[in-house]
Amino acid sequence: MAELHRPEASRLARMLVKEHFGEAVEAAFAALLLRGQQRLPELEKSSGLSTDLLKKTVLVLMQHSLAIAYKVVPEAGPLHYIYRASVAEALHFMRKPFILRCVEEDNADKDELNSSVCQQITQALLENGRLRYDQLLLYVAKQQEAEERELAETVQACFLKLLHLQQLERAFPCDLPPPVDPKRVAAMRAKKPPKQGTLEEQRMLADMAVEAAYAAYSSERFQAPDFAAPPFHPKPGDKRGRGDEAAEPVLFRLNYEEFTRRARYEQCVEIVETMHGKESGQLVSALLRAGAGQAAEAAEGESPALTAHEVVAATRGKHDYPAWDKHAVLSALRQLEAEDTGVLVNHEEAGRAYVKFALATGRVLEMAQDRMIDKVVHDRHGLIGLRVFRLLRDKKQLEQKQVAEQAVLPPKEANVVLYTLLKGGFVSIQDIPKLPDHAASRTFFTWSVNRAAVVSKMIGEYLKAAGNIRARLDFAFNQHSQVLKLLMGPNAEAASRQLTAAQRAGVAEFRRTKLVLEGRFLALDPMFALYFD
Amino acid sequence: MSRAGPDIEEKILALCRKHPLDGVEVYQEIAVDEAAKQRGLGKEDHLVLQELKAAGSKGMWTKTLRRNTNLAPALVARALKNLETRQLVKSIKGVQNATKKLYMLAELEPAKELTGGAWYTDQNFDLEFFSVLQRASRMCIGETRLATLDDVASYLRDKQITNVELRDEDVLSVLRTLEYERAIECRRGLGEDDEDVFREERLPLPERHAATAFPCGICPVIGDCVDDGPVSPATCPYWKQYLDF
Repeated sequence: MAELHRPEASRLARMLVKEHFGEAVEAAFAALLLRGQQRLPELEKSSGLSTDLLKKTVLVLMQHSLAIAYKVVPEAGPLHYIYRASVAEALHFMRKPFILRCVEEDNADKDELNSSVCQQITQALLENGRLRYDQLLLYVAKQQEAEERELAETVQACFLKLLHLQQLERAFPCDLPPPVDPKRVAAMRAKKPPKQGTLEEQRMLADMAVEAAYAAYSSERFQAPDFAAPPFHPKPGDKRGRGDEAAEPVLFRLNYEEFTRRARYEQCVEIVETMHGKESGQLVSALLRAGAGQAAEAAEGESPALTAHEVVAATRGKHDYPAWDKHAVLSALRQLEAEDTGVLVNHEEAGRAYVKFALATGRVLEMAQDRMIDKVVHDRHGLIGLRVFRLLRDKKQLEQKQVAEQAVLPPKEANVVLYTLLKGGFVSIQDIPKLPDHAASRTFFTWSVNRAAVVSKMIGEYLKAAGNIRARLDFAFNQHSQVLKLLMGPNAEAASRQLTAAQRAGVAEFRRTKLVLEGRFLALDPMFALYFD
Repeated sequence: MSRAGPDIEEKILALCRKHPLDGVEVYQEIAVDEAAKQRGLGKEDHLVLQELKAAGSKGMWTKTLRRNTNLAPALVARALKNLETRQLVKSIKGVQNATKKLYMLAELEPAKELTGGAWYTDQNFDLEFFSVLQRASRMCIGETRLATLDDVASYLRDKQITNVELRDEDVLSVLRTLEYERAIECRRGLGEDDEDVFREERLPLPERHAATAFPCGICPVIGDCVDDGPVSPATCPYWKQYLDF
C-alpha cells in the first residue's frame, strides 16, 4: 500500500511495536523499516542486537506478522531467508477493541457459552498473533476452566463459524518465495512468449512458479484444518520445515482485511442513515451483514449482491433487527435504489424471478471521505474556506478573479483565503505563461483542488496525529514514571498506601489524561479504515 | 447644420456622394442639447471624449487616456475638468481598486466589475445583506422542500427582503454559495423542463468529528511538529490547554 510508505506510518508503527513488545523487538523492527528487507546477518548489523536476542525478536515479529519471511533459493549458494517489515500489521493494533466488539456483536444472539468461546478465540489470536487449532482449544479450555474434550465440539463450531465469516484465515507461510513485481508480470503477459531455452523463458517460468505458490495459498486461505489429526508436538532438535511438508502445522490468525471491511461498512451505514433515515440505515446494515464472508464474489466497489429473501434469512432472530417480511424488504430496497443518491445498485437479470441488490460501497465511501475532508476544511479555515474549496473542487480550475466572483467574496478576501488554503495543502496553483519568459504580468495563474493529493495529505496528518497522541501519553507517563512504575510493580498495594497527597494527585491526573488520550487514539481508527486497508 | 447655410450643406452632400462611407470621415446629426454641451470644446477635449466613448461602461484611467491620446498630462487634466464641468463625463472608483479614479461618459452606468454588482453598497461588500439573502433562501427551500431558481427568486421578491433588484444570476450565486457550504444540495435537471432543483443538504457537516476533536486535528503547525523539536507533542501548548481539566 503506497499510503503507508511514509515516515508518519513508520513512526506510529514503531511506537505501537515498542509499547506491545518492548525495545528489543522495536529495534529489530526499526532496522527492517530503515534498511528494507534483509537477511539475518545483515539485520544483526543494522539492529545492533546480539544473534540470540535478534533471533528471538524476529520470531516475535513473525509470530505477529510484523515481519514476513521469504525463502530465497538462489541459483548458486545455499538457500536463505529474507525478512521484511509490515507497517500495516503494526497499525492493526489500534483495532483491537473494534475487533472484539465485532465478534461480540456477531454472537450476541447465541447462547453465552458460544458467545464467550468466539470471543476467547479472538482474544487468543490478538494476544498471540498466530496459533494452531489445538493451541486455541487449550487456551479456551483454560479460560473456561474446563476440560478440552468437554469444549471440543463448541470450540470447533465457533472456530468454523469465524472461518466461514472470513474473520480467521490461515497464516501466511514462512517459506514462500518473495513475490513477483506485478508490473513485471503484466509486462511479461503483454509480450509474446519467449523462445525456449532462453534466459527470458527461465525467468518467466520462475515467475509463474512463484505466482502458482501464492495462488495455492490464496485457494486454501480459509480452509478448515483437519480436526481429526493428532495435536502437533515438536520434538527437540526436530528440523521441520526442511522438506517434511506433511508434518507442517497449520497456523491461524485473524483476518484483518475482513475487520477493515467491517469498519468501512459501518461508515457506509452511518452515511445511508444520515441521508435516508434510520430504517434505511438498518436495511443497509442487514444487507451488508447478510453478505459477510462473501466479499470475494462482490463486484469492485460494491458489497456482495443479495436478494431480499437472503437479507431476511440472515437477520431472522437477531435482536437488533425487526421481524421483516420478504416483500416489505424488497419494496424498501427498491425505494432506496430509486433515490437519486445512487447508494444501492440493482443487479436485475432478465429472465430471473428474483432481483439482487448491492450497496455501492465505493460511492458511499467517497461521500464519507469528502464529508470528512469538508469538515476538516471548515474547522480549520471557516465557512468561507469551505465555500472556496468546494467551488474549486466543482469547477476544476479557476482564476483568482473567477473565484472571487463565483464565491461572492471581495477580491482581497478571496486572495487571502486562497493562499491560506494553499499553505494548508488543500488547493494548488498552476501558472500558464503567455510567453516563454514566464513574466508574472503575462502569466495566468489558476487554482484547483487535487483530490488525491488532499486525501494523501489527510492520511499523513492522521498518522502523525496518532503518533503525537502516543508521544503525549509517553510524556504524561514520564512525568510521574517513578510513582507509576511502583504501582505497576509486585508491591503495588504496599506502594499505594505510602503515596503522598501530591503523588496521588499526579497519578489521578495521569489516569484522566490516559483515558482522554486513549479515547482520542481509538476514535482515529475509523478514519484509517476509511482511507486504507 | 441648418444654421451653416444651404451652400455649405450642398457642398457637404456633394462630397458625401462623391466619397462614399469607407473609412473616410463622415458627419452625422446630433441632438441640440448635445451640440450645446459640446460647443466650444477644443481639440484635446474632443480627443479625450472620443476615447471615453470607446471605453464605454468600463471607463478609463487617466494614465491610459494619456497613452492613447498622446497628450501631455496637464492637457488631459484640463480636458477632463472641462468635460466634467459640462457634465459630459463623470469620475468613479471601482471596487477592485478604490484608489484608482476612472472616467466615463456621464450618461452610462458603470460596468458590474466596477460597482461589484448587487453585493456592494458604497463600494463596500455588504456581508450582512448577503447573509440575509442566504438565510431567506434557506427558509424558502426549507418550507417548500424542493425549490427551483424561479421559486426562490419569487420568494425573495414577494417577501420584499431587499429594495435592490436582484437578477436571476444574483439569486443563483446565493444558492451556489449555500451549496458549497453544504447547507443545500442541487439536483441537476430533476425539475420540470429539466431545470435544477434545490433542497436541504441530506449529508450536512457533522457537528463534531473525531478528526478535529483534538488539537492535532486543527493545528496550524502540524507540518512543523517533530519529536524533540521546538514544536513537539510533549511541549505543545495546545495539548496542555486541551488536557487541563
